[in-house]
Amino acid sequence: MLRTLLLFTFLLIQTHAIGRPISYSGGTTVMQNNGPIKHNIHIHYTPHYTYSIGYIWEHYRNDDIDLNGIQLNYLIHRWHYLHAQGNLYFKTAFGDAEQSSQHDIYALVNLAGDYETQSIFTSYDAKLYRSNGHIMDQFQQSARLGVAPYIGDYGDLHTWLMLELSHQPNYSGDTFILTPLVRLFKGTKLVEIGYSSDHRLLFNWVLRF
Amino acid sequence: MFKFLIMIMMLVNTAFASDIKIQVKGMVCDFCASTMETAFKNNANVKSVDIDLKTKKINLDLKQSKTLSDQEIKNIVKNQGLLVLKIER
Repeated sequence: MLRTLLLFTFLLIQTHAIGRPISYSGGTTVMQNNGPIKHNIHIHYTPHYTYSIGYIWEHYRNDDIDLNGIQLNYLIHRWHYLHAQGNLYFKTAFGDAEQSSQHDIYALVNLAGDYETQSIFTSYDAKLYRSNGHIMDQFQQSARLGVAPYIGDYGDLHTWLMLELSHQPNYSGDTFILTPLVRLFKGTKLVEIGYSSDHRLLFNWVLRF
Repeated sequence: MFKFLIMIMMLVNTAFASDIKIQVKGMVCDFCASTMETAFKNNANVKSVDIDLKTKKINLDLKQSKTLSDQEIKNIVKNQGLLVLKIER
């Protein structure tokens, strides 16, 4: 446990989740993640640059758990630099958790941070799920480190080479999963493709409008 | 004569064209750049927006006889979560 904490503290110091959870004021975002342990889709609307609200669906393959909830994303603080930006987010969700036709009410508390320039990307994300039964009592954390092999201008195709380390101590499969991935980013569209250490395909996409 | 009039009109148009260069802090990706582009395009005084992500500069071309104060520019940028570093006119 101490080793795990130290490892993630180290990663936190260096270190964003897939796309930012908040868009521009009045913007709508659709993001879908197909990762090693789960699929999810999050659709949110941003009334102000500091917060967004939307619907989230998650499906955990191994344990066959489905979550349907309302999620609020809040920007706690943004650090502005000429060539860099850092963000600290608080996210929370609640809704229905279903497993084998049993239903719980679940809640999520999520803290996420990122720091990025046009050539370096780092992020950390910690999620704590609780439900009134036992369907969704989980802790998950993940960190990313990415580099851009070239720096493009606005409208160019931006490419990132990234490494994601995720830790899910309550998961019935591998508790540590390492996923190398490629991020392709152009305008308001983002796609990520990777292959994890537990031999799963990662495919994520984000669309903003 | 007609060509001469066209040239005069073009010169007058160029002389009155308002070009503003804004340097923004924290504009590190296409999402941020797209946000800025949309925010300025939605402003009734702005004719066109050009963004240079490498230098973090937004170039605005205003509509003829329209203005945009420094404070208005700062508010537009701030309302989208970024900060103005420098405004050049």
